[in-house]
Amino acid sequence: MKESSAKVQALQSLLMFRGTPPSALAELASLGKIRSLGVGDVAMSQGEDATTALLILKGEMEAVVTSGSAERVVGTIRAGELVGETCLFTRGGKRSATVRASQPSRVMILGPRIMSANVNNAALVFLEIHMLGAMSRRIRNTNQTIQAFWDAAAPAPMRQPSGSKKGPKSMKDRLRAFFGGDE
Amino acid sequence: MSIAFAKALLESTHQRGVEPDDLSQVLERCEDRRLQPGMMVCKEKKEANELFFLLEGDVSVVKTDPRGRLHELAALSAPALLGHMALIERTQRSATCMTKNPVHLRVLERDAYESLLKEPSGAGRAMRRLVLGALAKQLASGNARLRDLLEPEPKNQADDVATEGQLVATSAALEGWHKD
Repeated sequence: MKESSAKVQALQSLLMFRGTPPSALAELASLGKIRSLGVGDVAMSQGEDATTALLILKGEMEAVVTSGSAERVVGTIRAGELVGETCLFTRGGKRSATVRASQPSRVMILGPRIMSANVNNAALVFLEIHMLGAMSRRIRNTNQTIQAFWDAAAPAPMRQPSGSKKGPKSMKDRLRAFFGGDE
Repeated sequence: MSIAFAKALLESTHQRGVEPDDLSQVLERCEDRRLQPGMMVCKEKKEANELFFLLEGDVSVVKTDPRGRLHELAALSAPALLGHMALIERTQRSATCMTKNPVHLRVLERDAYESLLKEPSGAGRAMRRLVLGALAKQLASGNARLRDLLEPEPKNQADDVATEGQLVATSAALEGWHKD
């Protein structure tokens, strides 16, 4: 009972659930588990099967992509934000990044059970609208980055400074540099 | 017709957590539209106020790249959801869709779409999850293409023309113009 009440309080503190009836939050809370994480604790690992999403209740997480021996932080996820939610709407996906706590954090783990909440549950409506906004922003941001690269690089081949022994960089090399990967 | 299409769309998209009856209710709120071959469903860079359910027929998707060249991105076949991105983002259309043969559409106006999104009902849930499923697939497909593009490869094998083509395809996948 105490744990259930704590979960509802944690959800109530999030902007997306402001004004949501406690009964709706209680139902949502009953469908997810809470996990506490210390700095550096890994919540999701790149390459593993994706079956759950995380709703960050408190703290901050970072998403890290490993390619070869290089590790790159590709995003920060703060309280009130979701990570890994695409797997709730697709099948057979793998984690594209490792997600670990960069501050002491509390998260709610959302699995496929969340989809079974009552159709009239206002908390689930707000959560789904929030996910929709988050996914469309991510698509827009990625596409804008592609567009920015194109605008910067497409009109003419970029060449090395005079005196360089290297030849002109290929578009792919420039793309990797633009996205922060290895050239 | 609506329930048969709803079942077919949910099967083809492997959509989770949506009942065909609920999606059928969404379709009942749409306008019925039939187009002859060669007609335009939506035009690139034009204002977007409609979302389309492709019930029958095929549509060609064409996009202009940043250098002004036209690329045929895909041919979408029924059953499919079209044109949701510009509606969600309140942006202009990112591509042009032309009918390849006689096409049957159900068209949902922006006001009805936005009202459905907020609705605590079966129809509202169907609309939200259909769009969420489409966005999740777009992200997965676009990110996979981008990852492939950024993979290291042997020197002297990078071809700028091929890379440009891959970039257009990646962008199109993110915008939902590819059907996997």
